[in-house]
Amino acid sequence: MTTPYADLPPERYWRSGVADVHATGLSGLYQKKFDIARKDRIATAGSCFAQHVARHLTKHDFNVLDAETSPLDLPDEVARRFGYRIYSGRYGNLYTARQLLQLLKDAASGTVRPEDVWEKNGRFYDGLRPSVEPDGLASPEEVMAHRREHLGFVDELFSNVDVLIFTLGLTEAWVHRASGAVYPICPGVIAGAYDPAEHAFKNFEFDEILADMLEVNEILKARNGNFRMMVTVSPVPLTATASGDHVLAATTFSKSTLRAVAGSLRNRCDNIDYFPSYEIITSPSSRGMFYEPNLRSVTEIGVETVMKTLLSQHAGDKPAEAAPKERPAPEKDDAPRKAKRGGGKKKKDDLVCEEILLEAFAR
Amino acid sequence: MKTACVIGNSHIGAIKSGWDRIDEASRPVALEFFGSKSQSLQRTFVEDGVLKSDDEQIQRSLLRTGGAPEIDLRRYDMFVLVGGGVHFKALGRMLRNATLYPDATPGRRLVSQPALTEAFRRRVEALAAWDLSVMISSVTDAPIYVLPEPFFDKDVMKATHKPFMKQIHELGIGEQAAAAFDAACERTFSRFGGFVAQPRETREDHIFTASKYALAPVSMRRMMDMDLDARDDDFVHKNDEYGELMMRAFLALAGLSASK
Repeated sequence: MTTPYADLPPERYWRSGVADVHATGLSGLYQKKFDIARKDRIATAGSCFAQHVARHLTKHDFNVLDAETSPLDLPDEVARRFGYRIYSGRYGNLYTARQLLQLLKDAASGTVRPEDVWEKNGRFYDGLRPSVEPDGLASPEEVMAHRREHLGFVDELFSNVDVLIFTLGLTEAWVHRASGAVYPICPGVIAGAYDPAEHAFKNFEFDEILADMLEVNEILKARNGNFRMMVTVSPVPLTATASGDHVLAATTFSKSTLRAVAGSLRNRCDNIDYFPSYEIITSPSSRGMFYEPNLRSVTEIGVETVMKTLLSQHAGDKPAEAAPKERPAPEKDDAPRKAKRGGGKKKKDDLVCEEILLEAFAR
Repeated sequence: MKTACVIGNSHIGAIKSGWDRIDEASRPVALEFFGSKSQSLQRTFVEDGVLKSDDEQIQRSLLRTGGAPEIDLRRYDMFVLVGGGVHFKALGRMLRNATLYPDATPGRRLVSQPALTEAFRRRVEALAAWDLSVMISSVTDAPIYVLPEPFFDKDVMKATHKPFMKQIHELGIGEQAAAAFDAACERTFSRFGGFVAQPRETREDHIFTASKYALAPVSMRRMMDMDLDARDDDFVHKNDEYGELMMRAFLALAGLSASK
């Protein structure tokens, strides 16, 4: 009598699927659930690692939208410093599912909350994306005006998107107790002031994250019946934890929870796929080679390996090996358009991450 | 007494005339003036500590204004660069499709003043004043002070080829735009010595030069007795009174002082 394990392909066994395979050559790890064509209108969002995905897809001529280009002719480096050309909107890093859901709802309703404006040294910052204006703005009213305009672009973006690629980054977040607003970083780190009476630590649980992502999916599906979502989990460990646990244990909890949510989304929803960038980078077979010496940042080889795996399944109408093509300059109208991002290799430090600032608080 | 070398384009005329208004006995520094039109000084190079050009027109202009066809940069204790393309209009053009808070005109994208400052700063680094600063600092550590080209006077709003000036004024964002201009120039040139912002008292509605400083403007051509008649439609060049105020602002920034 045979068993279900007989005659399985090599990738179903640890030894032949992982242990005996070089980390850059894991095969069969990802089988696409649906096609992503180069003409599909793609939006990118998520934690810092998502910036790699956005950059590489653009480089490979996918139709990655940029709904919030700068009206100024900014060099790439300056544009990125001001939050442009990083994601499909100028929303900065969305580390948690709740941030994504909150953004969609705020954009749809035009909600701007005065309490989300943070102050530092007489300058004012949007607490929901504090890194996009590194020098701050002159008044709370100006911050709110910029946010209103931003939400308009976000709403337009998500009315025009076929595929959202979202990287789940963290379970831990800081919330405004009264409004429930979720911030990308603890008040007081970049600007604002942490007030325990006003702000609370929140470590989102599986059920909450799953519910948030399902709601995101329903909102976007209602706007576009052909909407699809690809979720990934960032392999970048936590810089710091406020959970009370060791940062390694907190990282494992966070990533495990997110990975479980991603798997559940894939299993439940026909239009949601999971792409295993997390597995590629963290696999024991890589023996840590995909991490920089700080054991957090992902090396360029790691990113290349992730993207090679992705493109092997989503080459669109061109072979995956096709040479990256430079984009023409975007047109001057305000409709969401293909992103123009700097081509060529980027240094690892090119990522814009608020979370890394927590390191400054390490003793 | 220290000697400063003043190098500039047509705006050097008002600056020299303004300097002449300051009593000679009270001048804390001796100045030598060299002028060449527009952005032509970008066609210069440094060789053995000397600023030169292969362009005969530039050589003639330097000779006529300063007495030599080239400038030995090692002779001077400080430098004053006049004009060099540093003009508000370059920033104004950047706002053609954009605006600054508190304006909320439909169809215009909101940009932050810091982003505008940074964007303009990159533009400044393509101008003659930047090129000259880099070349001079490759020869000497002497401080370099940059005086911008003056803001247009309000008559520019009648000129159809510069509609952005009128738009900025009518959008009510002149103050913010002018602040971005000053901040970008200050950040760009402070590393060499300093940026001499156009004094507040010479400005009108933030982005224009008050009309009294446009009466009988002095261009370099007039300074060289090449064109004694002021043009009626010259909203670019300013007069000696303006030049005096700019030079007093330079002296103040350089830590020098001249009695009235």
